[in-house]
Amino acid sequence: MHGQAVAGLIAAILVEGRHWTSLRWDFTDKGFARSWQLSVIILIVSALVLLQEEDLRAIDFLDLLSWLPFMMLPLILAQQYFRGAGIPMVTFSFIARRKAAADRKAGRPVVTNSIHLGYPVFFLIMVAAGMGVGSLKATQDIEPRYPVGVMILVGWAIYSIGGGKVRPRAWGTAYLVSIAMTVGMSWGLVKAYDYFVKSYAGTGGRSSSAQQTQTSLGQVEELQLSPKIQWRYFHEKGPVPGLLKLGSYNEPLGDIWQARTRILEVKEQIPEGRKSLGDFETLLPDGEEVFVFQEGDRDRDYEVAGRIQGLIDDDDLIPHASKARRFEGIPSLTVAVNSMGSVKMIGVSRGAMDARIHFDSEGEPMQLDPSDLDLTYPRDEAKGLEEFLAGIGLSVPEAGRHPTRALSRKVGGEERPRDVSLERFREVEAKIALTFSDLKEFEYSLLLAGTDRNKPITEFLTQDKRGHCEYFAGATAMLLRRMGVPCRYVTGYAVQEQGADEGEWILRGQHAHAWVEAYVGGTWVNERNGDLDVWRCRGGEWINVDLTPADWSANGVPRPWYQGLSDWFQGFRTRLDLWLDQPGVFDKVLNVLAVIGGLFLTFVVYRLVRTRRRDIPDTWEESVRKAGLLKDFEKWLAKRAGQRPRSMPMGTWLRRSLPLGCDDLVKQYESATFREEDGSGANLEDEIKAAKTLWKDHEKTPGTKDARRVD
Amino acid sequence: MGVRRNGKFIERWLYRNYYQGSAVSNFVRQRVMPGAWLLMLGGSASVFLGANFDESITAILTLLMLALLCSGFIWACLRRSKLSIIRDLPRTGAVGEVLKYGVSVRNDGKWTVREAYLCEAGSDPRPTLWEFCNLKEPGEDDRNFFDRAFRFYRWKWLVDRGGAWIRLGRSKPLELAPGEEKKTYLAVKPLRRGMMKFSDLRAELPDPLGFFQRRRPTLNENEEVLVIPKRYHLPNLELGGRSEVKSGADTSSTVKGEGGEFMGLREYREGDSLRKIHWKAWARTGQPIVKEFEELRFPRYGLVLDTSLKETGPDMLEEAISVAASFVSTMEKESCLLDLMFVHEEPQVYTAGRGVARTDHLMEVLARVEGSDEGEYETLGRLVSRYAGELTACVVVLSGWCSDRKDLLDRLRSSGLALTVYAVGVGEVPEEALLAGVKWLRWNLVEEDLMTR
Repeated sequence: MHGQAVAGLIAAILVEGRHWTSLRWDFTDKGFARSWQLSVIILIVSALVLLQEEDLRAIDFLDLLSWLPFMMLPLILAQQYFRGAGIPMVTFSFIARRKAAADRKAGRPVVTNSIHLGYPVFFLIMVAAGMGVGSLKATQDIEPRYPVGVMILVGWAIYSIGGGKVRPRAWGTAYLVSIAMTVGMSWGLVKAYDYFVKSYAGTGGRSSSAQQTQTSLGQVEELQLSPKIQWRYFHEKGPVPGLLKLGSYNEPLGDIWQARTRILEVKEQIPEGRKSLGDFETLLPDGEEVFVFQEGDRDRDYEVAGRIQGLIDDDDLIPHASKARRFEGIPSLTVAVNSMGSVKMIGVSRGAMDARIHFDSEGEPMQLDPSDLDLTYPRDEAKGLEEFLAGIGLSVPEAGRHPTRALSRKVGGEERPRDVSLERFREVEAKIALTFSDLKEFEYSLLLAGTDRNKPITEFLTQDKRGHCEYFAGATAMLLRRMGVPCRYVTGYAVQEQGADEGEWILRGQHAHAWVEAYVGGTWVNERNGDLDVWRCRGGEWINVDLTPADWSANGVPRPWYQGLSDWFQGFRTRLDLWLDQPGVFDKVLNVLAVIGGLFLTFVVYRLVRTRRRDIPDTWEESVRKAGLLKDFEKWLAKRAGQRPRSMPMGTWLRRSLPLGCDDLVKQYESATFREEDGSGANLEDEIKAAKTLWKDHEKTPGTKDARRVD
Repeated sequence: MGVRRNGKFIERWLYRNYYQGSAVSNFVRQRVMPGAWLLMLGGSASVFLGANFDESITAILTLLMLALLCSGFIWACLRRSKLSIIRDLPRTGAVGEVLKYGVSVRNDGKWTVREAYLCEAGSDPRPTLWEFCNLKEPGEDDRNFFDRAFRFYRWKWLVDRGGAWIRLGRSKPLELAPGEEKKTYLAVKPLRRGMMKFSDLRAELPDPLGFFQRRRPTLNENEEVLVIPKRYHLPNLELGGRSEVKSGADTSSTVKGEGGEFMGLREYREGDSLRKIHWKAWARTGQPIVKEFEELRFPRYGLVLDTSLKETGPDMLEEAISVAASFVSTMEKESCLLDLMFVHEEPQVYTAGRGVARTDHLMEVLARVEGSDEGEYETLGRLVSRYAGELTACVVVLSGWCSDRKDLLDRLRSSGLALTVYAVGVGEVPEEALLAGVKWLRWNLVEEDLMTR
């Protein structure tokens, strides 16, 4: 409800409106149960919607949590406008309600406890408020109003629980001591957190940014892989691609790989008909929801084709093989590709996608040829890389002035990078691969020991020698670059798990993978770009280099027992989204839901109008009038059933004297006399009339004048 | 009702668990206040909801709750008191009626005691193993298998009906300087007849935040109050019986002399008391003349109580005793003699009314009556028969129904006694009892049935 002042105000008026109106309802256990069920349904639906978000974090629950008081509104309103006090505890348990009903049926006494939701709701609001105002890890950034507000509000709550009957001095001292303890414990907690928990990260989600990708190098202790299905790939023809790429990145910055934008660095001419969107160029439209890379890709056959299916969001990257040329059924305004060959959707109009992608096994990929930027590596890693390469028997070329990032912008025109032949590349690749696949040397592991954020690759190559694909891919990229092979770091999916349908492949979070694209067989040429001389490698070919030990896929993530259900739900939701995206379907569904919701709302309003009562306590005059009615009725009854014996309570006399069926009158009498709620909503005059009628009918029946007396 | 004396292993195991669990629960409940439970619940929830330090600072809320609980707990643990108590108890109380009494409290310690509450420790409501194994909750057979097997509801029912008395709240908060003495009031509600024992009065010392409290014992005497049985309203009694008379100066009365109005003189008859001789008339007429007084005639009723637990249960016996107490209470207003007869190890007869003894005495007897496992109907029959000739009518209160009880009624009727028989039982009246003219009282609707049957 952050920033939703109007909604909050409406809710507050509805809740506090009980003080300004005498309208009340006699909700039964069933009524409360209904309101609770409604609240739970709203909560579950909201949670399900939220759980579909990718990279779910605690901050995302803030939205859900902060709306919790709103979700609980049906229950809170039922409590506020109930004639009694509090909500019966059985409301919250189906089993307890069944048991209470069974007990009542069997004539056993049922003790009903009630709860007032005031304090729980107050507490939830405080928790929700604390989830958006800072982090305990950065205490200097904490919004001070929250802790101060919490201290004041909790103090007020405790004071009011005690009914204000406290010893002020002792109470104040105890509360101040508590506050001091809180401050001390907060400090201790932050210190303990820093000491024991370095970090805990998860991955396996989609790479949502073409600009950069965050790795876990030197940061995490255990990598968490998600078994959740991200995409489904349905292969249709040609050889099955082993890897589907999401994004390529060419510049390492600590634990981040980023894509250096072409416009700023190596500006190239945008072909006619294609627009530039930052580093991206739009693909050419070829009919509705169809996009091609080049004009010549419009009407021709492709060797490989497959469909990619999944839930999508705006700016999502599309998994594809590096030589993809044609995209059919992309539900977005346009599709764009950047200089690294990352493809993303812009202006997504639906929640799911079932797109066909056509590939070539040969031919030109969508990304540009490498520049000298694709040879850079961190200066701190240089020594470690050279030691490793020398250790595996490779002669390391002179570094020259170009390899490090600091010098990369100045190398143009000053020093030509050395060309690397295909044979030399194969030799380097083979030696690195041999070393990485040697189980005595290197080990694939999700349990990491890296601590050095400045030189994670050196630490990996020389000390730890264990890690996951990000380590192997990162190390491969830098080793190849050190050897003069231009290459890029790639994220995507390994196509490993076959689905139930024909040609279906499942791409889960645990299949997310990192590898390297190397440009081999090219020659470095100097090209003028504005005021800059830029070295470009031309005439070669991009190939995938994946040197992560082959057993990485065997490090399977234990799947929970409900994984099958989760998979089914993901598939169902995707298919549902696709169905709803069909023309006209969503409008029809919306209309049906609106009609059902409207009918339900009308029914609720109708029931509420029918069962409303005014909670106005009897005036003195009204009490006297009711007492007079009863006096008159007593005289009337005494003539027929005999005088009420002295010392016999009126209630007992009525019960004994009146014929069966007049129990409500006795309840009314007790209500009028003792102000107890009888819950029937009936009227005393009406009950007296009904009792008189019943008596007269009774008198007409011979032999049944006083059925209650069984002497 | 079949009675098993020794529970099975599972029954004993369940009983031990419930018994000990109940003790722990009671201990905790008496010391941890509702606010602390609320805080613990909220604290646990906030740990779960705000565990991510990166994104939230709700840990502050959690820690504040924890700190409040810690400071409250430590404060409560550090509280001290040394109080001595003298109760000012009434002589008797009655089941179901609030018993209020005064308490004088003195601070014997060196420090001022602030915000202290006095509270009786209460009586232990937990049932015995025998009760747990043999007494069934009404309607238990209708419960599901799980409930029947684990008997939690039976335990709950037994606990609810257990205990000799319950305390009603605690005293007002007291502040006592060293050596200061104050008077305050406490109230309890007796639930069982008999001797109500007061032995443990505690001083409750809460922490200022109201989360925890320490319960310190006080120096007090063991004291007792006699609790008389519960009594019901009875309809107008028409017990019938033969010529309903007993002479006022006859054997039953301890009042000597003639109690009625002077009616006249008549000739002496053999057996007349010498005290009745009118000496002046004898002198005047020459033959013995005696004074004749209006005879004071009043009925003498027998109240026979069946104290047997045979084919019945303690609840039935309690209700039977309450019915008997109701008769005693009602007959106090009548001008009659009342003989209470029952068997407890040996035949017992207690008489009250017409100056013999106050009916309070019978109430005290009824307060102490205990049930016996064996039905000694033969002895009871002989006892009543011995007094049959002197009784106007007899009210018999049975604590159940069986063939032995039927035989008892047959025997009493054969001795010519006018009987009014009440029997307490479960459910509807058995046909045999109906034929025997028994007024059937359902054990849970006794008051209603007394008025209508």
